Amino acid sequence: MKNYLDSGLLDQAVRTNADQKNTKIIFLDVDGVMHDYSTEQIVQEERVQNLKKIIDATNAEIILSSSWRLSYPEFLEENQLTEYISDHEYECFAFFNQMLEKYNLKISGFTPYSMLGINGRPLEIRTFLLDRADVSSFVILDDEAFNWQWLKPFWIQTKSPIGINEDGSLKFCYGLEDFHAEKAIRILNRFD
Amino acid sequence: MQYLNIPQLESEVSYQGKTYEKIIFLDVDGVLHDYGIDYQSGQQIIDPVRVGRLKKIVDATDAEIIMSSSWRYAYQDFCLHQYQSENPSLLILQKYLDYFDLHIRGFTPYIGFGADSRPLEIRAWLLDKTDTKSFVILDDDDFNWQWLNRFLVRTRETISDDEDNPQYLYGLEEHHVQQAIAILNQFD
Repeated sequence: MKNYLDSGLLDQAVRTNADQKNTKIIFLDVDGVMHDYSTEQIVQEERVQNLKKIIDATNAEIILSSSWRLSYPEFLEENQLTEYISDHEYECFAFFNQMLEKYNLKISGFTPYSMLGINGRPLEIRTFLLDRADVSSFVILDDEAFNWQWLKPFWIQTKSPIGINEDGSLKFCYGLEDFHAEKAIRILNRFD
Repeated sequence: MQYLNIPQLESEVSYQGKTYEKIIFLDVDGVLHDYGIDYQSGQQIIDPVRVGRLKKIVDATDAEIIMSSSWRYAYQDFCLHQYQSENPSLLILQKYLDYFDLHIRGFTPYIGFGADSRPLEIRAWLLDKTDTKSFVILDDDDFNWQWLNRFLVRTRETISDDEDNPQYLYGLEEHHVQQAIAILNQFD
């Protein structure tokens, strides 16, 4: 932990915006939120429409917390294949961008990268929030049960049980549904 | 952002080898006393009844106390000097903490002044605590709490909202105790 804190990543993570007050933030995971794993679609348009619904009702900013953020910024910068972006990633990013543009959505920033494991993403979100006194409320759209701890009231899990598999295990569906969007709006507008 | 390294090191000192599942961020003025009231006689600026209420929260939640009050500068120094001080306020506070078997386990880092400072200091303390499951902030002040409002128990009640002469009652009351316990135990 100490190495991480001393590494300078904190400085990268901080995007102070002193003039702006009461910013609302959506921490966005992509896989399992913008699509269901059972489909071959990279991004499902109805999920993007639900994200748009949240933005329209809250005026929130989108901060990418998904592992997509590791190479997506480079895609945005280069807008072409590079040695760090595979053909498949390029195809995914291009389609994701196309969908965002269609609904006039914008990724405003990224959480910093810290470590793998169940504590990683919560730490990255806490780091992002650290110096952001302007953030009045936020939600975390994520399908995964990281070690969210006190961040739980802000987390909307986009994974829901829909039945039982033949082997007795639970069957899930993934993706941002209408009721998730409604819940996100309530959380984001709570302190208005 | 230079300051970030310092508070983290401070918090690590109190963090090593301990778990902090539930945390009470404790302000003192306006929480453990009502301003201007001379409890009993002499210089009793801490109200033992309010300290007893803090004890109730700790007993019901097993939470650890982290001092976020401006008292923490003097109190840290007091601890370093083996609880010796000429400041009667510190001695009285310690006497009541001892009586109720309460311990201050740590302090938020010092970052600055102003409406954003205490919320930032609390976020800085929480940053590297992966084991903190829930926390509550006991404070009477109008800092720029933002989303931390969800975890705040404000120990200030308006008793007269006359614009020219607003009147407030300060201090930890029974209903604050219940509110704090509910926040701390919400994920149990």
